[in-house]
Amino acid sequence: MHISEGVLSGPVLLGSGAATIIGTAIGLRKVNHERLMTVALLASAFFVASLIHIPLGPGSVHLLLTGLTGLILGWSAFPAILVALLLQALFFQYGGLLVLGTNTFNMAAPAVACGLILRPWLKRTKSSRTTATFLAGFCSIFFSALLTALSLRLSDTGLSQAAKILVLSHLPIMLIEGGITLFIVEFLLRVQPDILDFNSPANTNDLS
Amino acid sequence: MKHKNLPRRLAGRQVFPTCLLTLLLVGGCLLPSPSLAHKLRVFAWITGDTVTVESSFSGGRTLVKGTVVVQDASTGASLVQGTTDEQGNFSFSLREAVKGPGISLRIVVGGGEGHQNEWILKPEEYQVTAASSVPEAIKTPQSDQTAAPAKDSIAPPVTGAVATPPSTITREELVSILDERLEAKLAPLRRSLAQAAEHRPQFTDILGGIGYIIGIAGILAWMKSKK
Repeated sequence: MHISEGVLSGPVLLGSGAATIIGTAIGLRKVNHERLMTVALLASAFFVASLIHIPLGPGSVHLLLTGLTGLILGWSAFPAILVALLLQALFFQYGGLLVLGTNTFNMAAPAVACGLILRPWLKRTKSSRTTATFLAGFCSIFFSALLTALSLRLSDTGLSQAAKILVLSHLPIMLIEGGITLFIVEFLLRVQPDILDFNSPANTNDLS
Repeated sequence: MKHKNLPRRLAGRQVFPTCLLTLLLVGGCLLPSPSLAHKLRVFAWITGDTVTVESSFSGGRTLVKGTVVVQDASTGASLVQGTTDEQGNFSFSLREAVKGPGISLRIVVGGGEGHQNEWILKPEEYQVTAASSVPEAIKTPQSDQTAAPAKDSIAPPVTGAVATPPSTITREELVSILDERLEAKLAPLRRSLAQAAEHRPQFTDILGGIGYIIGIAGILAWMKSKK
């Protein structure tokens, strides 16, 4: 879902770029000393996940882990994803520097939204936690695909057909991502419950 | 590992996610898979007068029905437009595209999901082959000058009366055929060169990226601690 350089129109680039700056500013303010390494850890996870392609069917897929990032980091998903995408653009020419704002917004905004909305559900019963974590993975990809399609549509690139396919074609990834997010969160709750600690003041602050 | 009742809790909890995961992976295999590659590869080569543009995703899948726009690299004026076929190829005639002398061609290929990449075709790349296939009318004033000295130096026997039977092909035709054959032979080589030049993520790159992220976090931590 990396949009290449030179595809989008100016207003789309500027609008999403401004949104990314705001999101990153909020995200950076939420980061405190204890959370800093968690943010770095998830930025690394995002950076690596989208580089490792797993052959599946006729093509290949890779994880994005945006749902997980949003659940754990809340607003701080913005700086984490921004840094990871910046490095991907610089190292591998995935996306580009001008579209960095758009790509970051398309990935991070659904992550933050899913994280903030679904996080209270993690504290309730086990089944609600299972549903919430699965939905976090599933919905973050769904809305990321939708935002990417919308960016293309708004720029009127003549790719509106491709935009429609974009959302549909990501369906397997949404399912896989939901399952993986569920798996990772369950694992983290067992080995490192602190990372999802809901009682600490830092995290309740995140939810506000 | 701290909890004593962990094994029992584990058994109950782990079954569901694992089952779900397996189900999803198997289900995912059956569904049509998207082209989730990051980058579109574009490659163009010349055979005689025809320029063939080949495009594929970095995962190896071809780009079907991608848009191709051939531009004058200096002015940005659109010269040729079209879409790629089932094999991800698109060809156009060089003679129709290039009217002026020695312009660089920028071949921009766009695919679904906002992928786009380009290939620059420099005049020195195509002029050799183009010159040999340009219509005779345009060519005659130049070819006399360029071909004549070469004829003497490379093939002296030709000047002798014995070596030129009436049925032999002209020098221009020979050059054209040679160019065509040579280009056909070189095209795969050039394609693999272009592929080799493409930078794929290596293990070291991935480690480097993680290092950068940890480093940035370190700088942030240091800045925050100074406050």
